[in-house]
Amino acid sequence: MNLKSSWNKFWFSPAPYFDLAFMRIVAVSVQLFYLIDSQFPGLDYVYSLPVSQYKPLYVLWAVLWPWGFSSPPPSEVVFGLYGVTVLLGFASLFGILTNLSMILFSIGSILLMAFVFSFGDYHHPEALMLLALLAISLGPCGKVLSVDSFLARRRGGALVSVPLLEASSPYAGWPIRLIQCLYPLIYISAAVAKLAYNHYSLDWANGYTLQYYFIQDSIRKDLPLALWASQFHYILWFGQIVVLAYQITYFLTVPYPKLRWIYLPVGFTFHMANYLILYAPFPQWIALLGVYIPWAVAFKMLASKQVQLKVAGSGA
Amino acid sequence: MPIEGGGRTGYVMDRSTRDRLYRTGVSIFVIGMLAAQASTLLVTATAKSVLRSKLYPFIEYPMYGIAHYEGERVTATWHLEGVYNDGHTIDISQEMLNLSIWDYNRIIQATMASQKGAADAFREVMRERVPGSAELQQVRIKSYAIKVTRHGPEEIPSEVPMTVPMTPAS
Repeated sequence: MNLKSSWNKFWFSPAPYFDLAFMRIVAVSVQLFYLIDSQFPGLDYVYSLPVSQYKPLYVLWAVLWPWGFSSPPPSEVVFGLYGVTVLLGFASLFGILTNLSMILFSIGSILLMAFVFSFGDYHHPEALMLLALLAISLGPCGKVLSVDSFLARRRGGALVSVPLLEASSPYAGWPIRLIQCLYPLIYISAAVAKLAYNHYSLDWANGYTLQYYFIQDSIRKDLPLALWASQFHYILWFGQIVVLAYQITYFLTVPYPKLRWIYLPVGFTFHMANYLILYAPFPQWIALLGVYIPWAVAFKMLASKQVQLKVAGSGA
Repeated sequence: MPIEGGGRTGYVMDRSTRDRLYRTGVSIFVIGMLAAQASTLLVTATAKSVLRSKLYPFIEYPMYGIAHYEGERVTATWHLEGVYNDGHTIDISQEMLNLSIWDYNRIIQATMASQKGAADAFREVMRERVPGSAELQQVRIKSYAIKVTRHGPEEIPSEVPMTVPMTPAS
């Protein structure tokens, strides 16, 4: 098999429209919740910071030139962008002009996030979601489970009837594949940092490191559970070794997809533990782990499952 | 995805051409995304700088990446103590400054690292948000009084690694 056909097989094998549309709904829902719950107060907050803290990220430069780069644009402009982005989010969620609304929703979300992070502080959970939204928006994400598909059916024309879970396309799989490939790169980045930042030693996995971070975050965020857990040196030591091994080997899920059934629950547990103990919420990452689940197959199996019921009048 | 119909008068792009164009576009996009994300690995591997401001949303992920050792002081945050002209003091909390814990730490740590403009930004925040700041003579930055041990946190004396005068030295 030559490179071109391997490439096409990897990225353009037929995949269910349902999986992509389902992930569109999951990703857009999480991003919309984030926008409404956290982004609005976040924008309000950064406008209260000293202007000296503002250093616009490069991704903003193309849109900031009318207002210059030394001070933030008027808040009306940024909150206007916020309002439009939220509306586009709802259009993407319901599948109205799906691709267009979702491309613009992705761009709006990137600009808003980059603006908030232009004030110096930045966090990690959001970036993967922004890339995922962009990828999904460029695939046929509104072919099913959307107002667009409903209207197309109403209009009629040259349409073929196919069961929802069986409709597939060579172009419905690549956005999901791409997100599956971004996860290993991100985990390797985390692993490389743990090695490189410590002079390429294994010092990071010494037990004390995690104890330190548990104490640190318990002070910063008032977390009694983290403070209590910081006393268990050997358990945390073991935990660090597991985390490092997990992050280094995660890329194996790409050539060996069946490994997802090990890495997915471990990853889910890891992020939930992070949330519960360290209050380091990564809801975007947890939601996007859904790209590893073949939703159409799962729903088909569920729908065809036989259940045992007692016959009416049998005395039950 | 290939767009249905959508041709100009006298020219309708056939399906195979649309498919080829779409595949090419997607391939370029995929390679670009993966290359951009992978490029952050090279920067992380040097452990000397960060790319985040240049390539966002392609960023590094060094979360909790620095190793720590037994007996190390936990620098979770800092205490600030303002000293007025008449000698009395005030505890300056993160809540008083109306800053998130991240911005509070970042502004203090930038000042301690003598980053360009950091001390001025620090003074600006104090002047704007500390009561009676016109009478404030200096602000002491005090370290957190906790160290990490095998059995968990242990108290140690606090230190004053830096004092910031409210009037910059000329």
